[in-house]
Amino acid sequence: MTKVFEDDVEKDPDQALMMRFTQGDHQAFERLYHKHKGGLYRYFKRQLGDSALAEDLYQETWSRVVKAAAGYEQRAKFTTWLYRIAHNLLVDHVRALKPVDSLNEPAGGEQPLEATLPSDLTGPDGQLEDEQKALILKHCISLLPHVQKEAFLLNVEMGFTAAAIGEIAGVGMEATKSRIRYANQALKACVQQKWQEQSNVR
Amino acid sequence: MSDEKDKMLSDPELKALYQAEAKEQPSSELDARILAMARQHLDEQSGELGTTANVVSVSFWRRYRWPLSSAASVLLLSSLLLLNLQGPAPIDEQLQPMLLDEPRASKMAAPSEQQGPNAQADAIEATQPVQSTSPQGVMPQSVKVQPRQADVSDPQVQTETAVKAKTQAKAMISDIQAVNHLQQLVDGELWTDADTLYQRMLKERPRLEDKTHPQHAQWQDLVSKIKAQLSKQ
Repeated sequence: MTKVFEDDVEKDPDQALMMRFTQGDHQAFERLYHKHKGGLYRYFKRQLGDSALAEDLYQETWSRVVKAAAGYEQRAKFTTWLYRIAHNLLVDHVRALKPVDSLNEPAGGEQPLEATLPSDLTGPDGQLEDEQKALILKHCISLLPHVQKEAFLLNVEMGFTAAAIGEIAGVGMEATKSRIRYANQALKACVQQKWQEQSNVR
Repeated sequence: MSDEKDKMLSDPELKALYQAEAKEQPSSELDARILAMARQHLDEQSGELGTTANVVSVSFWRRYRWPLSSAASVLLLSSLLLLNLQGPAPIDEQLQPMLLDEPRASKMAAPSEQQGPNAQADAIEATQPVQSTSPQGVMPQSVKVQPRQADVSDPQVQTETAVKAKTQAKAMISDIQAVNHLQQLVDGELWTDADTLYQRMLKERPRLEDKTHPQHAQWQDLVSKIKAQLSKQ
């Protein structure tokens, strides 16, 4: 039993940090926080578009992590547990503030694609092209339906497997895979289309 | 296998494009706020733990003082109860059998000294205001004792019995015993002691001078011996 626990901790260093935090080690929490703060923040920011709301939910997520630390059990990976909390908060708050259908709408606060793209797209620099395509992708992500957007972000941002994403979102693995595939297809088409449109403008 | 399929799920090109723009970070103020919250939570927890430690430090005897004292009281009372059940009976209860066996006790006191029915009557005489020298004198005593046996539970009877017991205890030494004692002193030629006892019996038992007294002859014999010896000295 102890061996299994030790193995789990070795496999997931986040769990070890979390256990140290529950024993009163604040530095362990700092390390855990700095490791996951960017991904979690973008998880909210990309889905909501509203920076203020994203920050509120982001802070609330960490607050719940801190409060629930005493009862933390190593049943799941720390990241799965963390994003499960984030997912629940997101669903609760967004549903409370907006109609469910609006989740499928493009996230508010996003600037039009033309405003985000540099005016000079004729540069020969390949790096510049990638930057432009990255900006297009960012815009296209905001156009995705909420469930696909979440599945895509969790997959790309955190590298979660379909099973883990299904556990976080509370859906089956096949449904999660479908969401990711559709998201990929939609994003590729969107990026291609937007890039073509920009090229035609040139 | 599953990991490979999952890898195929993510498009490398999209992933690369995404990561190129994945630069948003929470503000430093937000970071500081969250880390401060975590530190505060730890401080509160350690404070609670300190309070708990104080509670735990209360000694076992203090914590369970009421159950322990109750248990000790019950134990003490039980012990006393058991000791009383097995211990000596109260004085009244001890006296009652003595009184009831009084004639028998008298018999046992001088079994070999009985010189006929009168001896028994004489022993009873010491405790009776009405003297009787007849052999039938024993019967009234027995008859008198019987009702007492029936009424030992009556408090008034118990009080009377206790007073009577004291009187009778003093008169345990009967005339027979006293004369026999004097006889032993004379036989042992302890003349001084014999004279002392003689003087005392003369005062306390003047009835021995009565010629009708069963021990009168023995008494006179002893007195004459003592006087003869004292005159020699």
